[in-house]
Amino acid sequence: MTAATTSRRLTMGDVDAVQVYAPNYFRYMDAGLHELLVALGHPLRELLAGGFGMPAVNASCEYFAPAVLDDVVECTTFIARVGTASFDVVHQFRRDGVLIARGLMTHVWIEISGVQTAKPVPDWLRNAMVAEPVSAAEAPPAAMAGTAGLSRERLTGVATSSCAECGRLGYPAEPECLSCGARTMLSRSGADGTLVTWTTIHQAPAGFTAPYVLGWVELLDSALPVLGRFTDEWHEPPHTGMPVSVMTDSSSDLILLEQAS
Amino acid sequence: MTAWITGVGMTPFAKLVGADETSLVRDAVAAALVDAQLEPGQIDAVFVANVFGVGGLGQLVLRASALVGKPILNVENACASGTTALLDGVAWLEAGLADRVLVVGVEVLTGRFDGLLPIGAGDPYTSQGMTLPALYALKARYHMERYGTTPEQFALVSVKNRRHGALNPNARFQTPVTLEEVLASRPIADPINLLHCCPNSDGAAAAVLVREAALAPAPTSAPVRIAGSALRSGLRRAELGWNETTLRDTALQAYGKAGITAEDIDVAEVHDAFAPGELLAYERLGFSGEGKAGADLEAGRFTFDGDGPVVNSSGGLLSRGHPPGATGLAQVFEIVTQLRGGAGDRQVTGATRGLTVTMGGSIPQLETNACAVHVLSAS
Repeated sequence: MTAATTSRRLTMGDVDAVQVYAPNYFRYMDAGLHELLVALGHPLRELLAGGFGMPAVNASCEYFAPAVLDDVVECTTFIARVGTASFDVVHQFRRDGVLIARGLMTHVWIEISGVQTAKPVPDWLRNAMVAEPVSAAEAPPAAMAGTAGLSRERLTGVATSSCAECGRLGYPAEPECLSCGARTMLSRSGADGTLVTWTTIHQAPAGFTAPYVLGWVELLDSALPVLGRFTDEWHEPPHTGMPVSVMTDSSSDLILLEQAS
Repeated sequence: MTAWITGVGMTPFAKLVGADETSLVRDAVAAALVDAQLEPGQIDAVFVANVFGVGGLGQLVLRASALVGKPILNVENACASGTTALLDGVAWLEAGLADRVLVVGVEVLTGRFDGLLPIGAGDPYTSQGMTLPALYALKARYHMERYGTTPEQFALVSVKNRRHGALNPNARFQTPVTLEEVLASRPIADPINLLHCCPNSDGAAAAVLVREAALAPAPTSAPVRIAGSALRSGLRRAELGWNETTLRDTALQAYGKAGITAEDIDVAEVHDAFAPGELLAYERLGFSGEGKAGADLEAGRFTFDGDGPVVNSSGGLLSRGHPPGATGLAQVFEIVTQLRGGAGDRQVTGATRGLTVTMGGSIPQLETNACAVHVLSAS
């Protein structure tokens, strides 16, 4: 997972008579995105020179607590949603580990050649998408603080969407809720599931090497079904209802299944 | 308004090295027009079903025929393209847009793909290594776990259909196979082996549809009535699971339009791209009770002289071969031939009502791209 962390001690230039002047957060978000692009290996200067850009089409910020002169405010910036040509960047502002503000900016990936045209978001940016904790007011998981550079780790469960309007959980994650059409938040399922059906693939499609076992698993926390592949040999013959752990390989997006003990 | 099928024609289905869509369509259309005793000039519109060819294929293959200048419509609905085109043709007759419609399906598949047909790029299941036979394997395993259905019972579908296909001169495979041969064939996606899979094939099939008011007074081949048709697309599998409902709902809709029940059907062509698909369909079509399909097949219900409808008297996709654009109309060809009493050694005695069932899938996220069901009647 890639996120960028930027930190600043607040000076007279940052605050009004009471606290941080509200619009300044958007300057911090700009700095956060700038750092994130560096961490992803695609600094903005290079993108612009290559004929691409990412203008903002929407920006918002929620303020949970004031920050004042001499506070050290840390901003964690990451890609939270990727659509066809647009993507959301979330900026979590913390003071002493406590969330004090959350910014959200939507950008469009464009090609600048004469006219500016929206283009599909490139894979390096798409692959950088990470799950935000379900509640923005919650403290972030330890892995999120200060992470920079690609991690090739197994994430628990699968990326899901949750609709703040109607509560629908979606997998595969739905940028817009399929039930009510509202914008969704990315969330993450738990790892526990039970096996419904399975097959051993002996003739694999291009890009895959047989044999491997595909399993259809129902997640315990949401009842959502997930298709993944088993990582190892069976401890016992598979059967419907067998407990299974579900993980996501963050570099390949393969859903990995293991027989739970 | 009643629509009648007055002519059918098809090429043999085979691996036809060097075949092209134009000559296959020409042969199937010529046979259907002769059967219907019509000249090309009497046709008002043409529907051309195809899956993997180029856009504008209908106009391309008919450009040098006497049908040029007629309204030509291209239809793609995965493996159900041919029977979707049939439904479109009926709709044109019902809407008063035409008196006589030609429907033709064609596919040149061999040489284009080696084995597995491609499925939904960008699909979340495809990206995990899903294949089309794997989809059928997952539903087969689900049925095995739930009802005790056995691998031998799935294999019996292939044994039955290869035995039927040995009686069909248009079939690609005209030799029977044994249960042991099916079970010992190369594994593809457990419990599906090679002999549970239909062969990619080339071919064309055609049908002529006519409004009742435009029927010839004394036809040499008996017309067959399209008694009820229905078409649906599948639901999202994430919400549906494996207790699939689309085929059941589509069949009930078609039965309702025809005013019949499952018991009234004498002969049925049922999509068997993979053997488990046919076995599971027995229950969804109402031929078998829930969980009883395997036992019913084993008891011989679905072959000649069984106590159920004869399923895939032509040999099905498993024997006849599968050129996706043409498959649905080859099913129609078989049912029309049966209802006219002209099926020779594979004739179902006294057949008066028949069914075609075609499932077209290329998007694993959905139960099916298209499910087309037609009830055909001898009178």
